[in-house]
Amino acid sequence: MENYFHQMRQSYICRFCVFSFLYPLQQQQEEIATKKLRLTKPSKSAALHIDLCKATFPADALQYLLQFARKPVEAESVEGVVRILLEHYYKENDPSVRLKIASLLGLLSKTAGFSPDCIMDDAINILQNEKSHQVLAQLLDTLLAIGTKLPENQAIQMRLVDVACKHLTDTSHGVRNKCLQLLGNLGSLEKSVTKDAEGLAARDVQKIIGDYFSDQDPRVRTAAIKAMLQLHERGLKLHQTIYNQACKLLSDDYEQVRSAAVQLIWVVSQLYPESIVPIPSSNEEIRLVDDAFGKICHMVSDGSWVVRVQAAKLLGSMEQVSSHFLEQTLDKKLMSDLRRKRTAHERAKELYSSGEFSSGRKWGDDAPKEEVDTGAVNLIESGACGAFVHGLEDEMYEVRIAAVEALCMLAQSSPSFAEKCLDFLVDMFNDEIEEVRLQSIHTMRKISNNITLREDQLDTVLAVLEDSSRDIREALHELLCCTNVSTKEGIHLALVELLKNLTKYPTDRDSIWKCLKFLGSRHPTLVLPLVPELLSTHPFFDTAEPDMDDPAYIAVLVLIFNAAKTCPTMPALFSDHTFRHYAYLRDSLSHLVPALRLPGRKLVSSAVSPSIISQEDPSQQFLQQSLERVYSLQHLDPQGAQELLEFTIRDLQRLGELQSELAGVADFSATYLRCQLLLIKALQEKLWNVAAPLYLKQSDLASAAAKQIMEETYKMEFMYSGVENKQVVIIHHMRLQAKALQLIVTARTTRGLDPLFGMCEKFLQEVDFFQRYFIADLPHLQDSFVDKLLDLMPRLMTSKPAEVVKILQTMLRQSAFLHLPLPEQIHKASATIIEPAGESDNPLRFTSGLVVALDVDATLEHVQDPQNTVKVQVLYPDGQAQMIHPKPADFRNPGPGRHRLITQVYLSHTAWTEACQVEVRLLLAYNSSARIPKCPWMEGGEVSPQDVP
Amino acid sequence: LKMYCLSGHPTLPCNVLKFKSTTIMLDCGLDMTSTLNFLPLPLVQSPRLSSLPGWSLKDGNAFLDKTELIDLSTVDVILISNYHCMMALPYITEHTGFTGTVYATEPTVQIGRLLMEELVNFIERVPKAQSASLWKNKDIQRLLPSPLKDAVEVSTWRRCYTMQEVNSALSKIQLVGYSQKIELFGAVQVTPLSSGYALGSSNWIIQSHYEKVSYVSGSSLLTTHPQPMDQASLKNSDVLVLTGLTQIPTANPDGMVGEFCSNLALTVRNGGNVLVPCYPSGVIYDLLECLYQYIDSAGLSSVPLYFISPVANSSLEFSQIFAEWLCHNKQSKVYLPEPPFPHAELIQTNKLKHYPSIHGDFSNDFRQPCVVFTGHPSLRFGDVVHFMELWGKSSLNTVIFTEPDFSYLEALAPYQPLAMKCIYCPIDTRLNFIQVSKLLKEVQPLHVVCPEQYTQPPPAQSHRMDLMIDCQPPAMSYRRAEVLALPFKRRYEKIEIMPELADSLVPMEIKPGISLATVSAVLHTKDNKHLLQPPPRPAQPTSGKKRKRVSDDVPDCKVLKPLLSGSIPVEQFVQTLEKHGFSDIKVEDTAKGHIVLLQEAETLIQIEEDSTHIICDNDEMLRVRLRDLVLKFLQKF
Repeated sequence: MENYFHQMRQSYICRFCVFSFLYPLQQQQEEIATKKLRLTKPSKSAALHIDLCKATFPADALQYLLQFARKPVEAESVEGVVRILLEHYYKENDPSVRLKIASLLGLLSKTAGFSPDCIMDDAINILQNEKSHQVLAQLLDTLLAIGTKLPENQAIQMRLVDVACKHLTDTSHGVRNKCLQLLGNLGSLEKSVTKDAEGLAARDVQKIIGDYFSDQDPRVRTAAIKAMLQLHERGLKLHQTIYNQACKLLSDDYEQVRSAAVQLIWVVSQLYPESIVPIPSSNEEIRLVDDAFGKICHMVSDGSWVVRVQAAKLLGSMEQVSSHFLEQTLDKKLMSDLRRKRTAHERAKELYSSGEFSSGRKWGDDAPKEEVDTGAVNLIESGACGAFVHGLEDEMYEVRIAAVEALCMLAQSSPSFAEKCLDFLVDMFNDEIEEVRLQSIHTMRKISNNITLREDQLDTVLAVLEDSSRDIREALHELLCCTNVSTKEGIHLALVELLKNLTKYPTDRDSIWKCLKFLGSRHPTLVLPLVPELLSTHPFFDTAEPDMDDPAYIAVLVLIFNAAKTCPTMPALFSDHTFRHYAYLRDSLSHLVPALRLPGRKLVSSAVSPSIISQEDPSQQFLQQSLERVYSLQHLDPQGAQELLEFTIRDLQRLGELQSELAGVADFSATYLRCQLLLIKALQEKLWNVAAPLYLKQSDLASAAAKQIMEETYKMEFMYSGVENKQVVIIHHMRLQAKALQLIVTARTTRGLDPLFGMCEKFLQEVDFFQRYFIADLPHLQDSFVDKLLDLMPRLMTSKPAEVVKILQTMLRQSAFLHLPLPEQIHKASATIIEPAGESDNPLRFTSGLVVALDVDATLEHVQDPQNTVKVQVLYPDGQAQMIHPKPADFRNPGPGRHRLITQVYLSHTAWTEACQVEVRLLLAYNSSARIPKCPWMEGGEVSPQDVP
Repeated sequence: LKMYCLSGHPTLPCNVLKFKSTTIMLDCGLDMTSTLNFLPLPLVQSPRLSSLPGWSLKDGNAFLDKTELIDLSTVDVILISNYHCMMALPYITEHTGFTGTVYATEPTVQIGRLLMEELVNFIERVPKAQSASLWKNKDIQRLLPSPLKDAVEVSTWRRCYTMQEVNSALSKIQLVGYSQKIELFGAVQVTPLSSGYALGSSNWIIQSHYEKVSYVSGSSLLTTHPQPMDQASLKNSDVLVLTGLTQIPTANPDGMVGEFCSNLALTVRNGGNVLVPCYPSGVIYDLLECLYQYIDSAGLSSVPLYFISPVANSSLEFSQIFAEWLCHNKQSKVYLPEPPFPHAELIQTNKLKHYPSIHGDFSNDFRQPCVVFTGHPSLRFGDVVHFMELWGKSSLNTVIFTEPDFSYLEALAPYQPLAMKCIYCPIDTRLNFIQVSKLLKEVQPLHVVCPEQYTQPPPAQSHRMDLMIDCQPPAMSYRRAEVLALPFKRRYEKIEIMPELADSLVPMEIKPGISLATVSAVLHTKDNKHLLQPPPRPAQPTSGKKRKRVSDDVPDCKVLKPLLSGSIPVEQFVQTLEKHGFSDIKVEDTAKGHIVLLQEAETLIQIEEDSTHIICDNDEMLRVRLRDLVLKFLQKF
């Protein structure tokens, strides 16, 4: 042992010398290259080196390596580190340390900015002398990392592939696995390249990989298939011969192999859908895609559920399959199609050609015997038949979901199949797992364009309305929106069930109304005969007038009015109060009730609807014109400019109210103009003309204006979706002006210079930041505040605060009003709290000290990334405020630009005894550079909890 | 045969065993003690907690340590021994390239799912707006106050997983039953055995045909609710990996249960409330059973028991349906039919009520004084946080710690000053050292492997020499991030012979009792199983009939040469040589054998133990003659 120590110390000293030479050399090179002295950090690699030398036992070395692996290594020092590692590698006897070094090499070669070709030779070198299989596998992994880092270098790739082929015959499965992986990832794609490389024999990577399909170890077989799939992913066209090989693997004992094989078969079937393959046991031939479809269908009844899921999923994407195969998937009857018996004529012909004739000694000895291969007989040779029936009845819900998905995709591409699979889909509505039910409802909705529901099917569908899950009910409402119903009884049934649903779950109100709207407008003729019954009118007697606030009654009316839109005879059946209710609903729920052509009534609203399209252009024009006009205000006197701005803002606001499509644009520009107006007003203040010290208090207006402009600019930046960079520049520019204003105001109102110094500096920093951030946009800002400011920047930097303020003041007055380019699509973010409803009468009660959960339901429109920005705020009557972050899972996304927040807010308080109002607000958080202010944005309902002591 | 030790925690082990071309991970426990460094996550924002000095709300809840000792994508299977030891599963199966399978018993999976669900639920319902990670930087960490400064491996702490990750991890599990034999790639067989610690907890036997490794983790010899431990099957193992012994070797579980009951009764009689931070499954069943018997005798039958957990209902129901995994007398109840656990009766008589959370129904039913069972035992998240805040101010109330995983003083730290009474009666039914030595004596493994902590007495009681494993030969110990070479070599491999081939063998008796036969066969290997098949016959001459026959592709096999055996007696050989007309024979003895010199023919015959060489100059005739002479002395097969 002593001897060993001695040796170690010696080598340590030697190497340290070498090292100190190495570094200056590198530095020099760099100096030449960049002419800039950059200090390299030898500490990292040197420290590792010392550690490794200190390590007398492999275990210690391992610990050092583990510690080392945690720290990142800079690209410049990677090579040095690699050299040290390699050096240690050669000396090391313990395979676990070598293993770690090998994996570190792989990690290091992945470092960004480091070109690993220099360490490849060494890696291959140590590979050749390595005995431990595990280390070998890890080294091959390292080579893979190197190879993927250098995708252009063909020579290196060839060499690596060569190395992989050499080690393919290794006895360890791990090594073979890695070799195959390497081949899959690096195997050359084009034949032409192999021709050029004269030294290396052209290798057919596919053939080599294909040979390992029959390896003895199942893991290697899987790896081989995966490598083949990898080749396919990289764009290599697989040979058709692989199909047969893959088919053999379908009956492998190991599920991983089967699962991968199914995938491979699918890939081949997509590559060669139309080529012809023979059916074993008969002379017939079928299209490859059909054969593959049959085989994959067969795998739907595999023993392992992983394979079943895989197979069921892939079925969905095989659209080229022939329709009779497709339809067989829904039929459980066994077919003999794939094992067709040959005709007598064919058999006779075969006998003749083989030279065997009946001896005639025994009757019937030449009768054709069907040769049955005992290995090939499945108890149920199913092929495609009943694949979906099996899949949909599978015990694992994952398989069922996959089957439903596949069914959906196939049905979308084939209407006739959609018709046939309807029954099966409807059955899935009764599944025990919620996810499956939901999936099948969604599927049904997607294919509902070309189907009509029968009454019994509708019955099953409607039964789901009693489901306790809100998601499922709402999905079903969506489905009912776009289904066709065949009979009037069906409509009646649907209405009755929906009303039942409404009484059971009052929260579904909006969704149900919407559903009935579409149901009515889709089936006007079916609704017509139901009207008297639904409105309970009587030919002779007047009936009692129903309660107008009853949601169920509204629901019925929504159905009828929507049907009446395309059915002019219907209004004749209405009684008087119905017309009154129509007028009321048309006003209060205009999105649900369409404009009707009612006899004896003015067509108030119908005039609007057709003309909307024609009016759109003029209003757009109007918007443009008024904005154009505003931008000329530079030439007006201050008074005129203010008036013009005020008028334009008013116009824009009115326009936004009238035209919902333009609301976003109008609001956005109005806000901008308001900022400008405030700025002008602030600059028109009398205080500027008076000597500074006299006006300490009166500058409130100006500073308030500055604050308001800031606030408005933040709103402009964060509360609208679709704001582009062009606008952001302008907004920031406006904010900069506001900051300048603020600075001036403070300069005039505060005595003493000390605080001013800081403020000036900060302002100049902001200007600097603006310049750096928007450098590309500066040319557009000709003649603006910033433009002038930047011209004077050198002077500002050196002058005193008082002077700076003076310059700023004059510049603010002189600067031009910037034109705000309008974005294509802009929408104001908005939110509505549906629940808790503000006017709720019954307070929530809870025990003191415990927690009550308050359901919050809100819709958000045009909010970007609501998961991170939307918060809920709870305001207690004692002034306490709480910020609550909803879970990401609480946000649903029902449509583009729309989000729904359904969450629970927990309230607790120990000190109350009486009912109080609690305010719930939604907040939109934004983050501008450093600060994270919260902007109160939409306040909603209140609740009044009562404390029970 | 190597063992990679990824976790240093003795009760939450994570080891990787390389055994005969398979890589097996044994357990993956999640060390949650790092959560103690964080502030409690209250359900409703608490002004007191967020204004505590010296603490700040750090990023979510992050735990776990795993080292990069081994590439996790090479792990073929994971064996889970009990539900506490699978909490890190999502970290391993997701985002690491893991492609293998996980094996566990059904109760383990179901209850493990409940535990994970509860954990995710507790943490997700109070999301954090921002997370800090800069502090994990070494330089900054140095400046932090002491508990954080000393925390090791901070960089490996991670955020809690999500429910999707849990589901996808659990979908990789294959269910197994006790004593079921599972083949891994034909190379290794693994078998779970009952370990008696929890519902569905298991020890594993990993064996090939000639070697056997037993993995004992979290076993118990006490009769509580689970099936008793299976010791007999552990016999004859070459290596026994021993982990998961009791964490408080000095405490007697029975005594602790008694203490628990009496403290509970005392508090309730004085009008206080009792809070029991616990996991939703496991010891709570036993506690409820004890209380069931105790409350009537103590006159506390009017005191309500509340069990609050998102998975409370499922946990209580699941425990009743896993009849086959229960101990014998509970199993026999099922046939009466009666629910095996008495908590069913407690629920029926409304003495025990369970709620998914603290809000909702619980708020209406709440009566004081009461006993509340709720999680999480670390007091850092879950509903227990709320109760600590609510009841902490009154000295009438009591919190009783029963789970041994967390140090109760540290757990209580953020709640100080605390008026409520704190009782620590940890109940750990796992093996103690006396039971271990008894077990080892009975099982007689050749080698024992255990965590380092078990080979020396605990640091707090260094004089207690009885609190360590004592066995012969001394146990091999491992530490975190260590690679252990287990001290035995594989020597034999099993090869099967096809019956036809076996028929054709003709054994010859060489010594009494030992027969030999030569086998000429083709070794066929498939799925790591080796099979000797009869060699393919040389192609038969085809019959005269013109028959279209598909000729099988018979690989050309070489003509088989007979094998020789026996030794050549030198003297007789020389005599024979002389008989055949060779003269002038010299025999030299060498270290290994003899050299026979034929000077006349300038020929040399080396006879050694395992080889014979005839060296002559280009005289093939002579060589053949000599060869034939040599062969006469040898036996042929």
